[in-house]
Formats: sequence, C-alpha cells, structure tokens
Amino acid sequence: MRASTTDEDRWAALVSREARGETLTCEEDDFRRRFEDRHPETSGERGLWEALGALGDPRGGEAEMSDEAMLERVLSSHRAAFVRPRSKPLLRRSVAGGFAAIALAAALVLAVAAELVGPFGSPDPGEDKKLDGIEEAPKNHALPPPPLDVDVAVDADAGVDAAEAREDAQEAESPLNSLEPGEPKRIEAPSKEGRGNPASESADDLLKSAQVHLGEGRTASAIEAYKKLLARYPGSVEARVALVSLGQLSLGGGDAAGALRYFERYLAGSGPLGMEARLGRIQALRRLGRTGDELAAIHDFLARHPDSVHAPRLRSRLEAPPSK
Amino acid sequence: MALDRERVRLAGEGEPKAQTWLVARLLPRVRKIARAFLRHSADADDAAQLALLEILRSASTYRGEASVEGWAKCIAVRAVLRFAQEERRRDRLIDRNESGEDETAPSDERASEALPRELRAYLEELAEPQRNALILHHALGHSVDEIAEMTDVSPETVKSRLRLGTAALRKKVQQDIAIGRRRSLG
Repeated sequence: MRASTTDEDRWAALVSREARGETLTCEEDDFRRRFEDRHPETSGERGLWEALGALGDPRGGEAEMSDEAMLERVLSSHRAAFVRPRSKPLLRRSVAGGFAAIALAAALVLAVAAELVGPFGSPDPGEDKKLDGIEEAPKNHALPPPPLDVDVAVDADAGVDAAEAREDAQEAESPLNSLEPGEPKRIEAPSKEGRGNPASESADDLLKSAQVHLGEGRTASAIEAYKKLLARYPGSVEARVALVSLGQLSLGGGDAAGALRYFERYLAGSGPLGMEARLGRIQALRRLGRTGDELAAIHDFLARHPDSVHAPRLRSRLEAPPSK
Repeated sequence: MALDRERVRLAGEGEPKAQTWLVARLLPRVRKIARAFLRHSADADDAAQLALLEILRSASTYRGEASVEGWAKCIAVRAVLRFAQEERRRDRLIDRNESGEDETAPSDERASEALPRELRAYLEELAEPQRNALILHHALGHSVDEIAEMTDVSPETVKSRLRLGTAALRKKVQQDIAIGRRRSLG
C-alpha cells in the first residue's frame, strides 16, 4: 500500500529531526516505526532525510576554521570597520567587503549592459572567456579591483614604510570603507567645483570619479579618469590603484598586452593589490599564449598567496598545463 | 529576556564584552546555517562571518520582542542566502566544479553514504527556492511560518515549495536507486 503524502512527509520530517539530534516523543517514535514497518519501500529514502538533517553538522578536519578563530576574526573585523575605520580587515577572504561587492556588482551590471563597444577594441572572438577557472571580466565587463583579501592586506612583500600607504590605498579602494553598517553606500562623485575646475581635482577626486563612471556604465570615461590620475599624480597611492583597475579594464576589453603592462607596472612596486595584480598578470600571460611565463607566474602567485581562493584552481592548472 | 536585551543593546553600542557574549552565543547556530547552505568549508566560514557581522551591526535594532536566537536567525539566514546566491552566480562564471575545486565535506560524505549520489548533488538539481525551503525545514528545523518570514513569501508558497521539492528529491533518489539495482542485476 502506497503511503499517503501526509504520512510520508511527517515521517521524513521525523527522520531529519532525529538526524539533527532532536529527541522524538514516544508518539512520534512510534509513528515512525509503524510507518517504516508498513512501507518498506521507503527504506531507501531514509538516507535522504537523514543526510538532509545532518547537513549543518560540523565538518571536522582542518578545512574549517575553529570557533575561537572565527569569534576573534568577527570581533576584530567589526571593531576595525566601525570603531577604527583605518584598520585592516582580518577575514580570511573578503567577507567584510561582501556587501560592497554586491552593491558594486549591481552597479557594474548596468555598466556592462551600457557598454557594448569597449575602448580597447574587441577581444579575439575565439578566445576563451574563462581562464581555467580564474574569474575574468567578460568582454567589456570591466570590473574595479575586487574587495581586498586579508592575505593581500598582510602582503609580506611590502615594507614597513609602506604600511601607511597600504592603509590609505585600502581606504581609497576597499568597498569596506564605502559602507555604512548593513547597507551599501553609493560612492560619491567629486564635488561640482572639482568637476568644473579640472586643475583642482585631487588624486582622490579622480579615483572616485573613475569609480562613479564605472558604476554608471561609462567605461571609457572611467578609463580616461584613471589615465588622468596616472598622468597627474603618478606617485600617488591612488595612481597605484588605477594601474590595477586599468589592467583589469584592458583585460576585459581584450587588450592583454596593455593589461600586462599595467599589472607589471603595479608589481614593480608594492601595495595591497598585489594579489589582484598577480592574478591579472597570469590571465594576461595566458591570453598572450606565453605559457611558460604564465606557469612561472602561477608558481609565484602560489608562493605568495597559498591560501587564496584562486589557489586550488591555479594548482590544478599546474598539474595539467594547457597545450596552448 | 530583559538581561539579554540589555546585553544586545550594549553590543550594539560597541561594548566589547557584550559583543563577545553575543557572537559566542550565536556562533554555533550561525555556523550551522552556513554549513547547511554551502558546500565548501571556506565559503561556509565566510558566510558565517558575514552573518555574524551583520548581527553585530544590527544589534542596536534588537527590541527584545523575540529571543536573541530567534531575532538573530532571521538575520543570519538572509545573510547566508544572499552569500550563497552570490557564490552560485560566481561559480557559474568561473565554472568552479569543473576546474577541480570540488570539495565534499567529510560530514556530507558520511551523511550521504546511504544515497546513490551525494545529497548536495540532488539538491543542486532543484530550483533554488525549493532547495532553500527544504534546507531550512529539514536541515535547520524551521517551521513553515518561520521560513515564510525569512524568505519574504507566504506560508502557502513555502508549503508549495516544500511539496514540490520533496517530490522532486524523492523521484530523483528513487530513480537512482532503481538504476543502481538494474546495474547490479545486470
């Protein structure tokens, strides 16, 4: 006899409850036993509801962060973000910038839709949009540097003297600093005075202007602002940020050689966007078909950022190098 | 309840001990939510941190109308669902599962031993709203009304999602079991 849906559902709920570690009442336990006796055909399904009930269980092993470490990181990050806003985020990945990433992504979708022809020309139509699992901005999907990761924030290749500059760069670039708690905050455009009088535009104004243009889908204007920033304030922290952004925009626009130049200019110095620049460089080398250089760049990346979210994909690429 | 409300209020005002108390109290529940929705441990850790940060940021809004856990779980579930949605969008872009970055948590493996395929593989084949409803109900033990509140839909919609999701899951498992039997017979 086929079980009724109501009974089946109740039985499934009881099995998953048991798997969650809850104790059934005598009546519930009795129902479950009787149901299983009457409907042996559901025995194969039992594993399904048990597995579902256990889905939130601790996973064990070293893959998971300990509770203590998570407690410490959350508290540190919260206090750093809202009590001492110039401090570095402490999360393993860019969790603290997650809200901003979502907000920026929404703005950038509009940018992508609006920009049908990029200023760098179209990439080779046959060229892969993906680089063996490395996220790459699709054609004209020009993205600003992603939220900063911790391993970037503690990038060991920067000297002590650069620490303040790193924090400034984070402040200028990290979405974390453009957020109010809990809700995305728009990046404000430079003042009208600044726009009306180009000579008065500071490096920060130009950087913000570029980000606003990008967010509103004006990629060409964003590139112009980034380039203006580079030309006017070549030694500024903001210009360093612009190098990575231009690299990513170039890559998205199909100009791998140009992208490579920007990333390498950035990497010639030090700074908080080292990981992004190294990743971009790998992508550019891949696009250019410079496989040997690409693999060397991957080794370098893995040595510097072994815990990066991109590391597993890059390792798999090393294990099975492309024929190209 | 009054003591909890006062502690959460203090946490909202930035009092360090109250913040530590709040995070420590909610951390196991929030981690459970994150683990239930995210396959990769690193993603689950990130989602849990994101949710805890959001709870801390929202502490000043706690009015004591529900238990601390009840208030926090809504925030946590929404934060984790947003994170999971974003991860899925990103995974679609980078095709993560085809690039070798596939991780099955030991507990997932253990739990799925009795199934022809890993549970997450079945869940992935469901429509997202159905999958979320099933996880919220069976893995996290939320009632239909609670799920309706967390996901901003009516209880009837939740019931429908659970019904459809359950039927789809059963069908897939039964099909696999039948295929497995045929294979073993063959």
